[in-house]
Amino acid sequence: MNNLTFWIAAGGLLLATGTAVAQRSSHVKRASRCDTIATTSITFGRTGGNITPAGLRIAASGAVTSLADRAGVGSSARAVPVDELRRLAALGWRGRFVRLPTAPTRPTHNPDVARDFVELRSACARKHVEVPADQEPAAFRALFTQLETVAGKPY
Amino acid sequence: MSIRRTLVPLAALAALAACSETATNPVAPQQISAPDVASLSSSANDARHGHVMHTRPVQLEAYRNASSRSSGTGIFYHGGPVLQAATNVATVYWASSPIYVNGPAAGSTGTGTGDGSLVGTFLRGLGGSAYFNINTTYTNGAGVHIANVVNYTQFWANNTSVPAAGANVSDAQMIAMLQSAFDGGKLTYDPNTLYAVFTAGTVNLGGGFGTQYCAYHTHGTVTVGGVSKTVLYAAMPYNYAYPSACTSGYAAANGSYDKGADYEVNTFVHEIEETTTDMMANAWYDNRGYENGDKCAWTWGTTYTSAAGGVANVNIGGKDFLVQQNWKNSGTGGCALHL
Repeated sequence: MNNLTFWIAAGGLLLATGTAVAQRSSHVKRASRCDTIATTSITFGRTGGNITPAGLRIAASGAVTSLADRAGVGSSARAVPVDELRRLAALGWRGRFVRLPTAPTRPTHNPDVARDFVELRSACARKHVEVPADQEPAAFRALFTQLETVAGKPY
Repeated sequence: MSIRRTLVPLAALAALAACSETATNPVAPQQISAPDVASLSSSANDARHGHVMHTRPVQLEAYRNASSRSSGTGIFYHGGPVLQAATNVATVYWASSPIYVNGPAAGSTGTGTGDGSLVGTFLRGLGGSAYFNINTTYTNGAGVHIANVVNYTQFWANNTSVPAAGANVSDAQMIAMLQSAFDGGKLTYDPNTLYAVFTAGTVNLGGGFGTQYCAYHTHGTVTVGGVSKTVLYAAMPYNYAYPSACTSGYAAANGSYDKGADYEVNTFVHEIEETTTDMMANAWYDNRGYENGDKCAWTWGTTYTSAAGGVANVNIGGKDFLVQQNWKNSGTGGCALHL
């Protein structure tokens, strides 16, 4: 490799590096603009066990929808004020709830008992927690109860 | 040359750093979780697949399977026993009169052939069916596959100390009732038998019927010949008492003949399959604690219109039934109706 070839190669490598760094920086900026609280939708209800699943979904707009009924059609029931939804989203993302495990890892005392679940989903992240009804951590129960208060009973 | 020796490694390091995705991520890391069940719309699938029922349960199935399909079949063996050679089933109809149409007369005992109800028909035809064959994909600790055998061995239409409508019946009371059956010669004890306890109306077997579950399986201890024995049993309350929580919601496969039995069969087979592959809750389950039946509950696969105008997906014992799919422990796993 002569000197000219070396400097051309080195220059190309530096250019590529700079481009990659710039792209990464741009990516970081985009992600930084992601508003977890404002874009959060929340689904909650019961799942698992030997009973029909049921739940409600609160869209980021505040619209409340039942999970599809047996005919496969969801029904728009009511709306939650956006400020209230964001308060609950903050409770979920910034409180103890977000640190809870996703699910038990082995059959519960009675595996056929349904689990309550809450799922937060935003443009930036997602968090799902499901727990047997008689073993709910306080952070889970607190969020679930407040969701019931503002959106109604999911089942 | 010294510049060259310095520049090349620096540039390479810079390139590596720029490509790394593990550096400062502004979004707090979350556990990888399953899809938002509500975002998995079913209506489009329904339109494409006609008779394939993609409703809430399909959303749930997608959720349940999302994480467990990441490796293998999505369900794992944990060392416990299974009902390998055969799944024997005994029924106890605990009511003052027959719970299901053409069921055994109150107070009677007998073999499975004497049960003329839809539940009896289903049980007698289950063994050897393509549906139950799914369970042969599971093995015991020695790697021996579960046999496609179900024997409906005995029944007792127990009309003594019948629980009142709405009464809570504890597990201890169910075990005591089974103990009385063994003591009184109404039923024969067998460690590989699932004793299914059926009740009528709103009798609340276990205390959570219709709100926490529609049926469940578990085990307890009885004394037989002075020796403590494990007894496998299932609580089978009358699902049609809570149609929104405990039935498919579709027209009963056998029309108006006996809707209660039609809907009961679905949750019953869930318990039979789970008892077969996880009788002590320490054999086959996935990384969320779901047993085979749990992973496919309330999903139906391809259905058809039965002769009676109802919705069915299997024909067992010469009758149409609508039963949930079951998790197959082969290939990459998945819910199936037959194998």
